[in-house]
Amino acid sequence: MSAYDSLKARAGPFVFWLSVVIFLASLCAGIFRSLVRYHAIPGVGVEYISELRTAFENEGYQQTLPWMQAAAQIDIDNDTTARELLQAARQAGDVATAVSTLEKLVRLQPKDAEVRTELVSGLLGQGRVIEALAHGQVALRLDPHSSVAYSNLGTAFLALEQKDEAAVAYRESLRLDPANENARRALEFPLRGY
Amino acid sequence: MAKAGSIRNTNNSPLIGRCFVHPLFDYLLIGGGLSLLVIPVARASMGDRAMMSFSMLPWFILCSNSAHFAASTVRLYAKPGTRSALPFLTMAFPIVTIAILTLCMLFADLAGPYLQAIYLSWSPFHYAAQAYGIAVMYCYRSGCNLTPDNKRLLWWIAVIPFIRVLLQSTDKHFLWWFMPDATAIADAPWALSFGLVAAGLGGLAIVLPWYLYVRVWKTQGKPMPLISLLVVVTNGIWFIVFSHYDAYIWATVFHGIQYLAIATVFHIKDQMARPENKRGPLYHAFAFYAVSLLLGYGLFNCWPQAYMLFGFGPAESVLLVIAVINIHHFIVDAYIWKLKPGDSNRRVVATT
Repeated sequence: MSAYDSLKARAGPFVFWLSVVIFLASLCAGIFRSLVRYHAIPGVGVEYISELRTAFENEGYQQTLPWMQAAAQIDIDNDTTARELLQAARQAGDVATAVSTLEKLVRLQPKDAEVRTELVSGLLGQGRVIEALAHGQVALRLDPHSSVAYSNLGTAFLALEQKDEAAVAYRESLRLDPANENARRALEFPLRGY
Repeated sequence: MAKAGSIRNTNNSPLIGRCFVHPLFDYLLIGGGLSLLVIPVARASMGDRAMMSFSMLPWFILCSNSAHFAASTVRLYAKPGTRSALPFLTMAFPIVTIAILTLCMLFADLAGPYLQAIYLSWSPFHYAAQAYGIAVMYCYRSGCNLTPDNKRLLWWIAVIPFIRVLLQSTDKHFLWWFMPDATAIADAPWALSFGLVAAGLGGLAIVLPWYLYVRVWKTQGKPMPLISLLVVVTNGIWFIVFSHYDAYIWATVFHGIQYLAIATVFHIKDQMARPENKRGPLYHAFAFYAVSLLLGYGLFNCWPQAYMLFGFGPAESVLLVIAVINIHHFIVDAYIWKLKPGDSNRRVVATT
């Protein structure tokens, strides 16, 4: 047996046992953390959402934001994490994060009219009119009886100086919800006569 | 060897096929028949989102899914001859896995979504491949050796649910890498076509296995055992009847049961064939499941806590550990179930 073969024969078991030791040490560390934090061995449920919530409550928004953003970024299959981040961003008044999270949520739940409508409002607030218009038209298809969706569309058309289309959208919004102040004001001032 | 014969199957009907334990056990657990009985009852009593609102779900996941992931590792090390036949997989792969996981954890924003996409894409393929493997295995042990053409057709039929999943939710799988953001903005022009193709594939996944069944009977003069048909149809039903999330949960639980059943059978037969064996099949079954359950608990429930202890975020610690365990399982599975000549699997499949 050559020196290389001998080394190879020894390296295999060494690497294997090293990984076993690392893994077992990790398990012990995990159990230790759970015992310290929860006074119990790790539970069977997936607890990262409650971990994020606790961190948010204890350490505040800015401290937890990178964790939450990483969570929403990774969790491409589930909207729970993104909704958690959205709620935290709303609470903290972080509009930019709220809008980017809404964009992610729209990808995860493309048929959710409420999320889509909120995204349109957010995009309009950021002056991203063309994107707002594209999303707004989809929001309207998803929920044709939404006064807010029509009102958003009106705002987008108005920003693009398409006053005829804006007036039609605002009127429809007002018809669906006579209490919609945004639509009423728009029809009274910039769109008077349209 | 005498003990191995104690779980001898006596039913050799060509339609039922040669079962490992008993037709009821094989058809319900390995063939997935149990899911066809449980799912309608659960849906009738609890509605479409039955699994999502089921408070016992974490325990089901632990006992079925987590244990099944661990079972592949347990089998890798318990199966005779693997350490010499697969030196890299048995010796170096665990540390490679830990290293990759830790690296991904360090760059979670960057690598995390890709790792997730790989595992989410691979899952339905893995289920399909398992259905195909079990179908072929039962054909083989029942004396219905599929011709290469029929085998290829069976493979394509088995992967139809996988292709359907990819088409249905492009942003949740590796196709997401190539999909522009515009697909989410509007009803993309191809959305309707994708939907129609997916619906068509759903129908084909249920109908084509029956066509193959008749074709094999006609061209080979011998029917496939019905369990081969059942296992492929069942996998299709999991992904076709349910919404995206529920499909994953149902498939996860019943795929886990299926895997644990077949892995336990193989483990018992391997252990009983050892000349030094002094234990009975029940002991080996219990020991195999107990070790798998314990390892599954450690992997999915304790390991993420360790990463959190070292300062990583809770979400990446949980999600990336799950993703890496899945990928490790898919890779290990691709090797440990091969029916190469001389492999102990071949002996188990060929003998009752």
